[in-house]
Amino acid sequence: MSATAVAATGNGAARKGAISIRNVTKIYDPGGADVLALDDCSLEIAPGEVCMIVGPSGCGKTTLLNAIAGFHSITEGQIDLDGEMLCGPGNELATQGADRVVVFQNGALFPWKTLADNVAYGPIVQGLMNKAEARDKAVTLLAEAGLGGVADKYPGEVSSGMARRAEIVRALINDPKVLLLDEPYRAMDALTKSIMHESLLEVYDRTKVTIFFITHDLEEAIFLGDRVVVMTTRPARTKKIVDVKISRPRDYRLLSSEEFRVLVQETKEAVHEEAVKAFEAGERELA
Amino acid sequence: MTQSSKNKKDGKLKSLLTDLTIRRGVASIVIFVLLWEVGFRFHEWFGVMVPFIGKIDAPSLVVMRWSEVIYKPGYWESWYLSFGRVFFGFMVAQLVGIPFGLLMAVNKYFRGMFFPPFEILRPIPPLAWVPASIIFWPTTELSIMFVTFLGAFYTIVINVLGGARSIDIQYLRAAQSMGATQWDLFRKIILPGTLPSIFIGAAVGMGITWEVVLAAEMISGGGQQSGGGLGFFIWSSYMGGVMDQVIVGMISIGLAGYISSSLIRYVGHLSMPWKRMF
Amino acid sequence: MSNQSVRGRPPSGLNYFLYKSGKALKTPMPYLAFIGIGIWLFSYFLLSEYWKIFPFYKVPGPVEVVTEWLNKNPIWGTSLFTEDYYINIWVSCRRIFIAFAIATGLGVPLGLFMGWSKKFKDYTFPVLETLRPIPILAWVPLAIVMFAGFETPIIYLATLASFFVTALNTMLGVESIDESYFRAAGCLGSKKHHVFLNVVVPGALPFIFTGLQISIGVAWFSLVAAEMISGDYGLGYMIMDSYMVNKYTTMVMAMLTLGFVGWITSAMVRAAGNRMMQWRERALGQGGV
Repeated sequence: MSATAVAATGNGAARKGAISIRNVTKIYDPGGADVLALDDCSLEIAPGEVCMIVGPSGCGKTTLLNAIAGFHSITEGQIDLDGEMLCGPGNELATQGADRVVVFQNGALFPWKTLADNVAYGPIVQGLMNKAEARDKAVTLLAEAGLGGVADKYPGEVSSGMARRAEIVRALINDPKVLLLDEPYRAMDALTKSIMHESLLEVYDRTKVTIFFITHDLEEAIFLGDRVVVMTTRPARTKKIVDVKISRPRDYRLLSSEEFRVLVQETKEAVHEEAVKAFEAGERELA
Repeated sequence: MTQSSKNKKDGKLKSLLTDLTIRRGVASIVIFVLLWEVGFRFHEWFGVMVPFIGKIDAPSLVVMRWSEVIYKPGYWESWYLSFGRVFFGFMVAQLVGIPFGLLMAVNKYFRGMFFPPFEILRPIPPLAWVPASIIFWPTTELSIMFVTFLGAFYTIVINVLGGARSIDIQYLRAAQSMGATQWDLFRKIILPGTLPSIFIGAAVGMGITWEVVLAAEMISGGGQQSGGGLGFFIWSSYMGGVMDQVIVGMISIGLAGYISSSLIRYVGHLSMPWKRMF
Repeated sequence: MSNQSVRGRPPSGLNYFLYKSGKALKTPMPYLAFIGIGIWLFSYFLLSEYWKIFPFYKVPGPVEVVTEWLNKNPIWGTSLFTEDYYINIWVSCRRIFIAFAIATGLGVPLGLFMGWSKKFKDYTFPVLETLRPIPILAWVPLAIVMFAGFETPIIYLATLASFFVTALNTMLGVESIDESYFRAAGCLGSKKHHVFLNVVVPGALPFIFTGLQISIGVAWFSLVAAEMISGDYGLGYMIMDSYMVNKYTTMVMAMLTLGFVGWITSAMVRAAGNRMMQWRERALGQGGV
């Protein structure tokens, strides 16, 4: 089911989570040396689409995510969410909000709260539920994600795989329009990763939230995504978009199928070219 | 490259002057000084004494006194004496403390034996040693040096220990796998690896050293021959009831302490090119 | 969902303590400590009491001090059994308690705001940094002039010292919080006060407690100095006073008591910190942070 099909069959409610990135440029100024991170970058993401962003390390993928989330401003261009401007001319910094929740690379569960309190945090501070209700719902959702037994533990006490899953639950309890993931599984071993993937796919099949997922793992990108956007090395531009026309639900057997291999090959050629350029440029990765 | 970098340099100075942080900082200090001045003058102008702060001599008086005092050699002699004591005590503390700390860090038997007595004595504030020190050492000067030494010694040892033990063991293993001897390991990995902690310990120890020198000067040098130093300057000004001179002394010491710490930071900066520490 | 180990739950509480002690006793550490302390005490004894070497003989040795300390009728007037010993301890402790409470009550909030709001820091930090280099004891004359009596200036000095340390460390604590936590809170829909209570305060807690341990040490340092210069009662005063009248044994006793009390208060702060930061304790217990 491709992205456009998803958009067409969307339920009667308003389009949820369509992102429009138009001609976005971002110039950093760390200590007086202008760094062009994004150069005239454009991308349209349909509601409910799983959009994977790949590219060499430090090319500017995270900058794009930060702009959508409202952590950084953009220098030129405009980003819309469901037709309304998030940031653009005159308002270069989007406000942060629970409609676009981020899952961070090194995990950002509050270490001083239990998993359940972490998950309950969003609804409580938004005033949507009181403490007791929020906690109950949190525990329920954690149980659904297979984390029922550790709901009252602190993030430091559980494995990174569990923590990452909990972080996703924390994001989704707020019913966001967009889920932004910044290389969330980067630090995990392959076995844990495959479990994370299945868990994410299962969650996606239930909620159909728009997913904006940055990764450098091509197989992960093709396995999870509806489209894979290959970015060039710094300054980042869209280089190539690979459509992944594989039906859902997907499972790990897909990984050894012929059509999967073909897609990986196609994407790999594009990425490798950029990776070599980035390596030769030898610059330190952008934060 | 040349023209644009020149423009950048001009731009930097200008941006420094218009920088919001700096403007706010300057504003806050100006307000502080004004409030202080007004607080003191309040009594003169309105007849009401501002509690506590109203008794502190105003900045204007302090500045006037300072401009007088700069011409007196006794003032600069105090600087010289205090600096000398600080420097000496501090140096000895480093010379004894750094090896002691490093030895404790690398050799666990040494640490097992000598750390406990060290830890037992450490909570006793250095100043509590002053009377004992006076009894023990033949001259007052030596007793002040000893107490000064103690203050900095504890700090530097703790910092060295912490720093050395936090060196990632991977570095040591990497070196060993390339054929390093024990001495190589020490000189090329442990020593440079501990340098940041040594300098932090030194900077903190410097502050403590000044406190101790000051106290020792006030307590013991108060009425004696080997007195002198900024502590004595403050104390005798107080005894003489010249409060604005007391404040001159206070600010002088603050300055002296700041200069010493900056010196340490500078030396640290030079000797650790690989790290932008402070 | 089972995290059970093969042999059952790991020990906790008393069992854990005994287990750890048992393990520790098998290492050379406790014995070395014993030897180290023994060497120190023994050489101290030899030099000052037994061989009476100059200048060590001028200082009372360990045996002398301990016998006096345990003496029901102390020669020099103070021991474990006399009332004034406890009065002095109590007076010093009370002053520390007040000073520490005020310094923490002022310093932590100030530090939190300075770390959190650049604007606030821009206005307050310069003044603080200008006053901080002035050694606490330089304030003695001013303190005597400003405040009436003995008690207030002494407490003021200890408070000042403690305040600077606490405020600075708290500020650094807030500044050390990983940006991601602020961002996470933001994208979960927090308002400013939510961020303050849920990220700033807990995130800075480790630094705050490190600062508090340092600050109580600094408070003692300043207190003792102030008591020695202008005091009545208190351990610092006890040291100075017994020195003045050549009661050296009492002086050493006071010094050691001071060390001990200082250590206990520091340990109390540390324990309080561990209690408040349960999440760290448990994570460390699992072998990682």
